[in-house]
Amino acid sequence: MKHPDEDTLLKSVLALLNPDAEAKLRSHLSQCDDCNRNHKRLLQEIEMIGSIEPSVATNLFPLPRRRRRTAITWLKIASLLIIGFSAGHTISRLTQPEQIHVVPHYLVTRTPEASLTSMSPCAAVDMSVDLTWVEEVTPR
Amino acid sequence: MISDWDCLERARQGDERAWQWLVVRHSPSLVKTTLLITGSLAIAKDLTQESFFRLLDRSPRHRHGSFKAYLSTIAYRLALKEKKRKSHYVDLEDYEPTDTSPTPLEEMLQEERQRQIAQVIGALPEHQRSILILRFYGQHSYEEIAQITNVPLGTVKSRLFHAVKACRQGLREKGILE
Repeated sequence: MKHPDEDTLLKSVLALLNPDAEAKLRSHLSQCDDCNRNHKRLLQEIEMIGSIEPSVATNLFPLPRRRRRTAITWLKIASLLIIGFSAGHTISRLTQPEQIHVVPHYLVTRTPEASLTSMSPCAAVDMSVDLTWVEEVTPR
Repeated sequence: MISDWDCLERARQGDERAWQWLVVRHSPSLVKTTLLITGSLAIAKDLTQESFFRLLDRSPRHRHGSFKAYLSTIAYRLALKEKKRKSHYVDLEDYEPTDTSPTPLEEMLQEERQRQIAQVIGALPEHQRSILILRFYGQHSYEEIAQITNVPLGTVKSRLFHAVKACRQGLREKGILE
């Protein structure tokens, strides 16, 4: 095996090589002092990167009591949601939106004697009235 | 030997000793990890405490996988959220475009060398920095880091490799490495 490059040595130090490549490298390191020295140097550098030791005292805190949401809490949440939805529904029913009126330009009846000359503009039509017997005609 | 998951179950039932055992065992690495992510010891301690409390609130049926990774996932997400929240607010009185004053973490470190290493780690891109912190300071395996950060295993390895390379370059520029 030829001398491994620095990236390969670094991968070995970080345990990123696959087992075959690692075995070959180990075999080379056992025979090559230079590579072995570089490998050890990289290992020390990696240890240095992970060497920050902030003086942090262990912070103990007691077990919190009754922190878990019990069934009663869930029931309270559910009842609040139901009350909220009911109130919203009631309010929306009380405040009905304004009725929409559609004003067609011309109306023609389906009766056989009706002709184009009999067309005339008409007033607003309340959509709540049954208008299934009329159809809208767009004026030219 | 009693497992961490069993201890948690006992703590849920009100066993104070089991709770303290979990806190003593896991809080130092959590504080260190969140401290390096957020840069503030006070915030790191709060986040560690909050992580333990949230652990209690989680479903008792969840018992699979590494307990440490599960706890770290909670802490890591809280730390990222806190960091993002803090970055949205800048105190105009303190703001200076070329502010080079030391961070709270750097002020905590006694040795100049450690301060410089903290600066180099702090200068890494966010996605590389958090993986380096979880590996070197949280002592997590690559699989655990992939689980904590929700990133594919190959990406975790690649990011760590580039993070370490960037760190070495930074330390070389500061004269710490030859």
